[in-house]
Amino acid sequence: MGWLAALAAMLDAMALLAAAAVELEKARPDDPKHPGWPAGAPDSQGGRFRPKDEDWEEVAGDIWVRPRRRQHRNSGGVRDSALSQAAKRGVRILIHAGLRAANIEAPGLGLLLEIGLGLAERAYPYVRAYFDPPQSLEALQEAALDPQPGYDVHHIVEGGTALDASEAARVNSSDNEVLIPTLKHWELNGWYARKDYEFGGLSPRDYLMGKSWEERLRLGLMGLRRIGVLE
Amino acid sequence: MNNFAKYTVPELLDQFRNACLAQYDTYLTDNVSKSNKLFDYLLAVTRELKRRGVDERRSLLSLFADKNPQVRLQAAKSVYAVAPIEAKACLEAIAAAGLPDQSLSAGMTLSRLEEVPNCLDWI
Repeated sequence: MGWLAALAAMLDAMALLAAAAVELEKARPDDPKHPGWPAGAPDSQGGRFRPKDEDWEEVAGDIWVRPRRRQHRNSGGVRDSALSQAAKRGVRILIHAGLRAANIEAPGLGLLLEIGLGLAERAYPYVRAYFDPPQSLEALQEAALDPQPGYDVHHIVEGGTALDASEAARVNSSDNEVLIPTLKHWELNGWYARKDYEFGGLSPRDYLMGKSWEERLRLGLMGLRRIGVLE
Repeated sequence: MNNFAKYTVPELLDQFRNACLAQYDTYLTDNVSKSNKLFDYLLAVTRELKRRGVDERRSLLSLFADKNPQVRLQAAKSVYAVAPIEAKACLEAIAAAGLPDQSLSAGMTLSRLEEVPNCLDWI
């Protein structure tokens, strides 16, 4: 892609992001359409979205109990309708283009502010999530039960490498699902799909086809660590 | 298939670098198919250098100074079999740089090398 094309893509992405920002939602405790946790809620949830009233399982005094049922298990779903795939791709292009233009070797807070806050607020969760610190496996698995904007549910052992139909349940089990930043999800998926030398010239995905669950799991966890998601 | 025999070593390095730059752009466009075709091209260039001798293949080390991380990444993987110490240092630097895509790839190569030390020897 030449620079003019890259610039055009950036402008397209910014337009999409600006359009998405028009329908920006704010979480408020008294808003039935966009309910939020009140200030002072435990686990620093104040101001964040909470499930709608009909989804609550328990409220005792000031203790807010989050539902354990799964929501929007797919990588897209509601979040994709909130911010189109094209706009999310725009965020990624902006990150790459920003790094290239600024000749930045190590992205950090400066880049976050330059790219994230300078654009529509809808893009902000995706950019912010990209710079999340690594977390424990348990925390990532727990987070997958309640996906948030800017994140995707990721299968540690990919469904596409399942040996047979009987593995589907294991692939889709809560042990195998973690919540990771959307942009890092794309990055991992891209890595799985691209040919590489250390797998004999195959893509990691092709290499893993037919391999044991343990080997696929080990490589999946390795990828999460190397991309900075897993401690 | 390209006939690389007619090219000088500097010309082969230029072709290698240009293919890496094109591959770098595929991360922006998510064009995995093109990236994989470029991988085959890079492999062919590397094998031509290998056919000419160790010193010719080690000329890939000059690309470690390139500004583009994809060029450094692919040069490091391609030259690892004949310059493991330098290549590993290059991969470690890329892995630690926090770059989208290239840091992940470099890091995964390092992890794979820990498990299968000869995984790059076939190139």
